[in-house]
Amino acid sequence: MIDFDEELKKYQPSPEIENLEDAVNRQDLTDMTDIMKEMMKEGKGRK
Amino acid sequence: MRCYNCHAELTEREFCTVCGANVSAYKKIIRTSNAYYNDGLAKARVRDLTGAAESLRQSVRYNKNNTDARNLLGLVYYETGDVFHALIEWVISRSLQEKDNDANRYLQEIKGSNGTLERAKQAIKKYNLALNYAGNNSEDLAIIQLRRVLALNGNMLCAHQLLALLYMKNGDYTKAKKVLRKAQQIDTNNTTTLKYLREVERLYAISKGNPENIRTSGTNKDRINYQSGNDTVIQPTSFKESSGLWTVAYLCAGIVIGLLIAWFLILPSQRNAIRDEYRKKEQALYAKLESAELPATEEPRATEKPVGTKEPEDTKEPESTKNPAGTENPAGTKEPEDSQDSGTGGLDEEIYGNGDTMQIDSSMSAEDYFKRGSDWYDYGDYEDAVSNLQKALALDNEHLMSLYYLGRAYQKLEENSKAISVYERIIELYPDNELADDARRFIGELQ
Repeated sequence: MIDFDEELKKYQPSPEIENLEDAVNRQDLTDMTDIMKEMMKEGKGRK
Repeated sequence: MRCYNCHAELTEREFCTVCGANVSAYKKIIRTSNAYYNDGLAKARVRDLTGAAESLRQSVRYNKNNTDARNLLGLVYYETGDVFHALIEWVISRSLQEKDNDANRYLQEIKGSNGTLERAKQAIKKYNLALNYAGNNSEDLAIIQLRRVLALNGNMLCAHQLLALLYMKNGDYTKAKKVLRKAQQIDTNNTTTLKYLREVERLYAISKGNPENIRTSGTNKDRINYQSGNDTVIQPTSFKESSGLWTVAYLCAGIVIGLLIAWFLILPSQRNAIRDEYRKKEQALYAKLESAELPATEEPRATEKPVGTKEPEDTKEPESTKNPAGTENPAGTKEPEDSQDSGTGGLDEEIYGNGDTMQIDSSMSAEDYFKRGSDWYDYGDYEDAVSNLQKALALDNEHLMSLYYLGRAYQKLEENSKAISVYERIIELYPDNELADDARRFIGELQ
């Protein structure tokens, strides 16, 4: 049974394309390789 | 694969041969990213775009430099009508790899093509407006705006889903289902679409008073009946396309039916037409034969059947009603006795008949009766031959050929005295004729 109001809340306004640059800049591009590098740096620092 | 530290080309070893960095974990990360990319690619090929997007997001999360995965993720977003996130992925992709990157082409196409970007912007604005209407209990306005959104960007999955939700709220389950089917064609395995579809089926069944099984709600299990406004819509539950084998089978059946039609309907009519034509020709030929005159010196043909049809002896009829060809006299049969200037001129009635009592057709001449008599003679019916020859002689008592045939017919009937009498008359009338010589010879034979 779907609750219409609850279901409607799941829909969020779509970001405007004019705000694309901001959205790109806000993207977190940290990946597993970055985490690994950081961990290796931390490991070296402890040594 | 290049080293994360010095960007040198890595070998199979677990460390970089240039800078000596340990690359075992790094290699695992790259392989995992590639595995997710492959998974996402496989899902995208079967239009499981939700699953593909999830795999591709994982892929770039492991390795942000996996350009193929990021570009494909942008394509998946774009295919679901999410232009904004598609642009984000392609812009990031281009910033991470400026050269030899398909993202450059995608961005150029979107910006350069005929108003694609502008339509996408408009669609987003209208979608947001529709969402605002829906939140303010103005579903009718929201539906209108969402239709416009889909006219601008037909693949916008969230617009399809919101529109279906609004239809469901308004109790218009048929339209909701139709919209959801379109959404399913865009993304086959979207959980929201599948959830709404299941819900709309349930709500529809409830509205029809049969929540157990919607497919049996109609009178026939092969179809679903439902109301759409004032219309009753009958929709088949499944559609099976004809296979090639069935097409061939239908063709063969068509050919067989065509042949049967030709055999039972066309051929008989053609046969009848040919038969009629043949009958007409036969009648024409027979008419010609009847009018033809036998040569005066022709010998009687002893065994030849008269031109015509049936065996005269099997269908014996009164003399007055039949002729050698088995056809009736054209003017009927009986003629008044006084209608003919007939008579045997004092000849022996036992031999030549009584011209006054004979039923002679006024339209027939001595020649006609002779022809009939000779035909009966040729056929071997000497009695009918005698009868017709007597009529010929009643009309012309000196008809040489009739006398000759009459003599021969009596001879065949072994009425020799009558035959001799006829032959004598021939000799008397035509002493110099070669038939008279024959008559003399026959008389010699009979005596």
